[in-house]
Amino acid sequence: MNGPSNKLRLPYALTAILSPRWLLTICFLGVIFYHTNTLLDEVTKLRKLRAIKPYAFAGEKFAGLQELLAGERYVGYYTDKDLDVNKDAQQFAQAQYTLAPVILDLNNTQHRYILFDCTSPDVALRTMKQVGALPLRRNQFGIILAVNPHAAAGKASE
Amino acid sequence: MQIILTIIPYLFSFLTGYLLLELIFSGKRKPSLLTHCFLAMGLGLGTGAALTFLVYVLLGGFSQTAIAGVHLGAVLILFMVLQKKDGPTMFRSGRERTFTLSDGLSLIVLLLFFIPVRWYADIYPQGGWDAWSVWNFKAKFLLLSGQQWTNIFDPVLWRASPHYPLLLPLTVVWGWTLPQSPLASGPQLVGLLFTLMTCGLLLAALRDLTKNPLAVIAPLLLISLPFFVLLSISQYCDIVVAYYLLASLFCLAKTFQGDSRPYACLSGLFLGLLSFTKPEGLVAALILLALTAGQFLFWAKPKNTTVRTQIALAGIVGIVLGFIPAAIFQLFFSPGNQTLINGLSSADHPVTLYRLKMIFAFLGAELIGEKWGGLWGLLGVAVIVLIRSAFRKEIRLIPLFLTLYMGVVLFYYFLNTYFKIEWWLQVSLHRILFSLLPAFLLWVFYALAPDTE
Repeated sequence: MNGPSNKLRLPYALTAILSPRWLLTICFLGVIFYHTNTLLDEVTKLRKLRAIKPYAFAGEKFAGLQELLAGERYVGYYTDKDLDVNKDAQQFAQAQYTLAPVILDLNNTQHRYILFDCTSPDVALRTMKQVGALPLRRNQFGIILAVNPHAAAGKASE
Repeated sequence: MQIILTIIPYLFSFLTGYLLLELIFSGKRKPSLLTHCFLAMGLGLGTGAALTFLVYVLLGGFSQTAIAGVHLGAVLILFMVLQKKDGPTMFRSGRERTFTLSDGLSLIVLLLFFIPVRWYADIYPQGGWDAWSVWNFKAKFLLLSGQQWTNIFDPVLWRASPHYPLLLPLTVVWGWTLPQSPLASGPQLVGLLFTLMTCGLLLAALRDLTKNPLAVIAPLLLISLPFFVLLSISQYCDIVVAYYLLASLFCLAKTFQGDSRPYACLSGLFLGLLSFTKPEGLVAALILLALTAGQFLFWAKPKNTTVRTQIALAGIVGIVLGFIPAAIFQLFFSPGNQTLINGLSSADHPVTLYRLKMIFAFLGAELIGEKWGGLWGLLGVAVIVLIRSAFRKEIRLIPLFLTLYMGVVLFYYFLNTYFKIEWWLQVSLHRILFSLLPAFLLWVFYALAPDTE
């Protein structure tokens, strides 16, 4: 007859917990715990930052122009800013959102209406003179709406 | 009041999806309540987008009366058909699995973990870059352009990717239909809904497929990861792709697990809706269709030819109906990808070995990147540890799909030399991985479950 085995037998519960399935589950739980703490930290910091610096949408600089440009399919958007710079590209994209469904045609001055978003008023005025555009409105953010009397009307139905 | 007017359409969508599922499962054992609800919301929103698209195509633009009427009509027709078909037993037929205490507790835990997601969404009320430059821009354009809605495909708007399908913008438009105003709360609500639906569906799918009481760990891995939360609330379409991909994979798994005609039909519907989300969604849907057809041909059960034919027909019906909006869009409206240069044939922008090296380097760096918190690494270890279970016959479709899909995506990065590869990978690769993560978790946790080892 065989004698008792000399092998060390682990308790069943320990064997179960040391199984790959349970080890992975414990790892996943640890990851959840860690990530949740990081997420809560991040959200708390951002909420405090928002309380000090409220959310600003650059497209708001173009608010109020929707009624003036209603019915136009295209509006020129002239800028001497570098659109490879995030902030300036963002402003153009948000202007497009704010003024939708009007289509902003970047650096095309041949439309009836042209928005000038330039680094200085001199640049805007110089370009307006070159193309023969006349300023209509200017807002506190330096955005100028001009009309080009030489351009054909670009209605949305075209 | 405006916010309530935005919520009402989505409640309608839930009702539409719920009734549609009742009809599809009529006379058969229905999914568990958890699964039913999380599938219903996605099916309802997708159907809503398709109905809204139909109004645009047939009537030439936004019409509050037509859009609301068509949705109301859909609910009434579904209700009448169910009433006629099932009569007094409507809503009463049994479910595959009853709603248990474990389900309830898992749902409560999930909802608790969702609270920080809600807070995060309020920090960026207008979403991320692609929200205001692509998705919400298109939604606003569709809402306000009247009969000139097809101007949205103007080549001047190339930055807004006019070749992208319209499921997400149309879903937002449906929410804006009652207030008739492009409220910021609309797209924010849609983003949050799809995030909750993706996590909820992952929970429901794992509970149904594996009966694992710890299935809630999978969605918690998603919803606790700061980077996943950030992308989810950015109001992009990637969370929409993630949801419909997960729904398609789950329905396909249920089809082959239980030779189920209703799930075959649902698989087709969700694949169709997936194809209407983004070009990546269309690619994913086509790959899954091909793999499913192959798996069906080699499927050992059911032996009964009549049943096999019925399952195939149910799937085909679902596919045909589900792909209608995507087909109409691609055939009649999409201007084609204007940001494509075939590097294999271009002399000015040819493909290079450098491009190939950058793709693999970026992929490796992305997978071990800090923003994922080591999750991809841990999932990779899990796959290796559970390798036999992870590649079982029942589950093989998922890793096969993931491999083929990533292969196609990486090849596209290599082939299309329009963009500088470093910039392109930097702004898009993480979003591809984001949309695959729920499906990857479904695979790993399916393999991990105790009764599947």
